[in-house]
Amino acid sequence: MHLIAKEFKSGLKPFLFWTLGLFVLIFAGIVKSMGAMAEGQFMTELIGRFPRIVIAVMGMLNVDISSFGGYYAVLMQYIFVLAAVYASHLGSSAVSRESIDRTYEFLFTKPRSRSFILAHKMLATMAFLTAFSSLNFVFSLLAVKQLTLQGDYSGVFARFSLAIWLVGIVFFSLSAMFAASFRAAEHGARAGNLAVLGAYAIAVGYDLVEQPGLLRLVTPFRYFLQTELITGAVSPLYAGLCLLLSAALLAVAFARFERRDLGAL
Amino acid sequence: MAYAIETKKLTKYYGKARGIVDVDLAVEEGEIFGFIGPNGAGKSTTIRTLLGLIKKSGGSASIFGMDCEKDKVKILSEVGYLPGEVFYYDNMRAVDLLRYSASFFKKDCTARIRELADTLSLDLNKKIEDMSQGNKKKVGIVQGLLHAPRLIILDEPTSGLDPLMQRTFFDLIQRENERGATVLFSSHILSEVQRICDRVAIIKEGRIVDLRSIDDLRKNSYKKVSFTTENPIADFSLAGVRQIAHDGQQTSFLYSGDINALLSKLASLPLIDADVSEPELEEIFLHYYEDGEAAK
Repeated sequence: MHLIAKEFKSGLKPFLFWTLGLFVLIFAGIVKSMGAMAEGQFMTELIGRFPRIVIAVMGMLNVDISSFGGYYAVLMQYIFVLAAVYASHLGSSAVSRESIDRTYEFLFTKPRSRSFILAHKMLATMAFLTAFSSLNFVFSLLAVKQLTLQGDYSGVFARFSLAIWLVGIVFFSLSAMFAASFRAAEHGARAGNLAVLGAYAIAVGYDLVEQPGLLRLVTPFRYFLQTELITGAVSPLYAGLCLLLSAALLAVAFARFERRDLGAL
Repeated sequence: MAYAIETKKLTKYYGKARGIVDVDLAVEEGEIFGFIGPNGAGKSTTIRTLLGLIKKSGGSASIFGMDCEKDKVKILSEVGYLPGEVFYYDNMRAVDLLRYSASFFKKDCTARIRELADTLSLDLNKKIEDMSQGNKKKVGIVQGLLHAPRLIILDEPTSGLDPLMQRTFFDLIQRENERGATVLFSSHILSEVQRICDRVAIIKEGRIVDLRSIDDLRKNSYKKVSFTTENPIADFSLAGVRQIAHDGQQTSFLYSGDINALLSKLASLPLIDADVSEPELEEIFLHYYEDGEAAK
């Protein structure tokens, strides 16, 4: 069995659980969209009565949920968070899993460099993230077929799915870097989860302030704005930033992993 | 001459905590080299440094003349390692784990896996999670030997194996040695080391305190002496006597020195019985610790 095949096998079960969550969220969300859109005026008024911060936390501040695009953007806001948490889990797991399971003495005494092993583990886990984003597209297409909607939304779904993947790899790389930097695995995983939480809090702040300025650069959750994804394209500038940031974070993760002592965590 | 293993002033600190200090080892190709010391003495730290699992703080370490850090990948293709505690992927069957292990080496290990599993009476189709600790250890032995390594590193290898299987294991290691493999055998159980090793290094508190052949260690070090007298002896003093113990009429101690001086001293006593024998390695080993305690 190849290293990547083994990693696929061991990551499959958690992937299926995450995919199940994604499936339920998208199908339940999209099927209910007709109701929300039918009651569009009422919903808008109702939400308008909420404090601004609550609306921002729900990701509804800058979108019109009486339209399908707006409704889908709000739904995707939660998928972004879901994907970020999953990516963070994948990143820290790729680095720390062998130490947590105490199988490091088996794997890292084989004639392969640490970087080779880590790169293969990351490729395998990255494939899960890619599959997760792709399934977001597929599930969205399937779910929307249950509705009687006018127009083709596949472009919107594709843009959101790509954006989810790009944001996901940033959190994946960030968590991998944390996991390679902290001695204790739980500290690395905690730092990754806190990064997701912190980034979301900043994203809420970004939505609330009139002139956020450079705040957008700090939170990957706002690299791709809902309004842009609904009507326009995936920003090449921020897509490039995601790739560059991920490359830099992974470079740090590899360097630190190469230098660290391997042991039970 | 390139040694199978050579360390010079090898040092490892975990932050401020001592791991090993100035460890000098030279293991010749083809020998079975014992590495003994109690838990926490630095045996596993030395081994993990050799295998590149942890980074040294100072000194040098090489295997077959290659640097343990720079040439790690090349070295590991020649090394089989059995850790003290074995942890594998629970959801795998033994045969899958062993095939996975074999996939890292550029050779077909199928026949060898079967042969080793038969020798150890290991059921290859069983899942790792359903195995006893002893069977997991057997899987560990097979995965350590399946690529017929030139150097076998064993860290407390017999824990979890029953006495019969221990015997099989020692036979297996001796066969590997006859095939030409060098063996580094780390243990805190001295009788195991005594059983198969040619030479032994004794490590204590991170430092090598002695290095000699097993025969030399037994023959030239200490005699175990015990004698029984008509009346209990309150005082028995002779240069070279250690660990003296009185139990009624019986007195026992370890002796290192001129055997004639010992016999003269014994001859002056009203003896009922006397016995001079080779001490167990455990008893010899104790001195390295007593000396340390006395120095404190």
